[in-house]
Amino acid sequence: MNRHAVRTHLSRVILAVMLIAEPVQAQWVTTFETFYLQASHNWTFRTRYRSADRLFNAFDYGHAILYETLLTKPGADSTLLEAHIYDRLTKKILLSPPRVPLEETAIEPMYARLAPEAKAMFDWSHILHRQIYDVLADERLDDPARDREVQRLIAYYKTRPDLAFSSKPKSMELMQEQPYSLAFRQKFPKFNGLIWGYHWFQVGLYEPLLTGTTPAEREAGIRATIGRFFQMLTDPLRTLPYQMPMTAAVAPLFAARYPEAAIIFDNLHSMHDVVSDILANPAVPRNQKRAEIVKAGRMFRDDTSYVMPVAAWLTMSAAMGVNNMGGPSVGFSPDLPAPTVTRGAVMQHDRATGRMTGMKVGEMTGTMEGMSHEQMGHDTPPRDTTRTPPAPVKPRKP
Amino acid sequence: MRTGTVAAIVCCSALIMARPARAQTDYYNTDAGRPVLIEDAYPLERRGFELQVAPVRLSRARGGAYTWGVEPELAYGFANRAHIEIGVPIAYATRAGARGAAGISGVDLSVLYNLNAETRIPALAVVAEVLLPVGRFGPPRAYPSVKGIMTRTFPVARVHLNAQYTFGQAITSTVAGPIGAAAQNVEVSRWLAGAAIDRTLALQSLLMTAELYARKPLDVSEDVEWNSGVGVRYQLTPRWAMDGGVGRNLTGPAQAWYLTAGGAYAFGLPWSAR
Repeated sequence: MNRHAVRTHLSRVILAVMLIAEPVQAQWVTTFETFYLQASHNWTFRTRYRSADRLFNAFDYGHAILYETLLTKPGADSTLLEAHIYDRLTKKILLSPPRVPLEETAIEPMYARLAPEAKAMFDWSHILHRQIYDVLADERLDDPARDREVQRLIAYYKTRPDLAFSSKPKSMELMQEQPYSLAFRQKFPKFNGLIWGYHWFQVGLYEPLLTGTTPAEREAGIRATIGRFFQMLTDPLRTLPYQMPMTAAVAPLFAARYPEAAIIFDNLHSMHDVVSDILANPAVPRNQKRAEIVKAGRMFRDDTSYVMPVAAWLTMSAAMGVNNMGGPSVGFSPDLPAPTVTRGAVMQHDRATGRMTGMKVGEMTGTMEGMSHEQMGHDTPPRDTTRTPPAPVKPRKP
Repeated sequence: MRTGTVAAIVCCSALIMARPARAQTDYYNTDAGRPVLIEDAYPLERRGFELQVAPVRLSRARGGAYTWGVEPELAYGFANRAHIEIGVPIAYATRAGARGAAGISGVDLSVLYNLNAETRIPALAVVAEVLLPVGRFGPPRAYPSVKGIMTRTFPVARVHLNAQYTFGQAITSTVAGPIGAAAQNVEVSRWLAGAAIDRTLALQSLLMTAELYARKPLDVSEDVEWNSGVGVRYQLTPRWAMDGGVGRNLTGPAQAWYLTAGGAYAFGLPWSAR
């Protein structure tokens, strides 16, 4: 073999190695798990509010089976999720939820393989969610102690910057104005509503723990919020949330007291929707889904992408309308509130002020009841809506 | 002779139990020996502890010799993707017509390091381990080992492959004394290779597993031995995971059956923000 042939051959080998090495590098993931913060309040919520705690386990299953189904059965008829799996979740699993937190990898093994970093982000944030419940449910802690413990939990959460969602608010553009956005809610509106119902419950359940002044009041509040969640399942396309529940709207006392946690949870829930869209959208090729999820995860972790001021986030949350999110989680009237926009509508907001600037998808319907007029482009200056729980909603017959 | 035989059985069983027991928090993260030997490639969580409180093992060898063993273990996730573990196996053996004997059968120190989380690339891990000559029934000398682990997940099951090699002097029948007699039956492997498959019932937090592996005993006079086992792991509470299993040496001189059951308790380190 002459020198030229050797050089050509060598070049081809190097090129081949480079082509193989890049995908291998992209697939080499070194994420890992950290144990939850050891504390005296560990698992208190589970002990005191068993039925609510078990619902969280069922929600974990719902999220996981959703991702696994979207990923592994992309060509399946929509009835697989909208009818078969939805019915199984709402008629069996939610009625008899698992007794311990689930190992989601066992439910979504292929999704866990696709994006272990994103799965780890969700797991880490779900731990924060649950540990804050433990703090608020621990009757041994007074208010200052609770506040200290929640701050300690958030500090512990942030010890994993590779997993922690940003505690800076993100504009809804990141969630619903990306090239892949809306695929999930448009193809699977019922399941999307269920996921939003889960999120309503997950942030909303903090509220009765804060508004209740005695253990009995807190227990009654938890029971009422559980009842409200099941009420949302009665006529899913009509009664489940029409918008992603924002913590500041659904649980205003919690958001005002622990704004960082509230922002983290909104970012977490936004990313849940983003992953659903990426998986559900056929325009994202299968071999690009991992890259898109990882990219989205990066943007949800950083403190720069799509960031808006806290005041703007509060304004945006109010402008989206709590009635479109399932309503408040405490102090509600017997009937569910009537949404004021079409299901899955995309409202646009000014990133600097949070004020609504238009509707990209969908439209306003009927009354604006439950929406904050002053946050919709009128001249009233913005205010901290998290400190003013929404007024009770007038019952509305369907 | 009788004493020597009992000691041999004790050592044999104790050293089986002295195999590395990786500790991980929940039922889904399999640990070597809990209940099957072949394990997955994932470590205990960072900052997490796991205490194997009372993993019990009963084995019955050909000829009716029974051995009871308990191996308390403590593992700690000391670094990202790594944990360290210490186990102190204690054995008690009886045989018809013979007086029982009990004792510590070595101290097992190991470190597992996970290389990666599974994607299209399987999860990989390496283990360094040493079985120290501690206790009445400990091995005659330290035996260091290295092991490679691979875990691959499929939609219906996971598959784990383990391959281990042990360094150190081969055991022969020329070693004197009761330990020497025991050593004739020592089951530290020169090498070990095997596979396990597990299937999870996620809503029940129950994992079912089965394994098959081959090992070459350090005793040069023994042939390659085949072993099998099945078991379950179950998440009882968020902190407690239970396990149980049964297995058998398919070949080899003892052809023993074993039953095993245990529970692991998980907890973390206190932490405060500076």
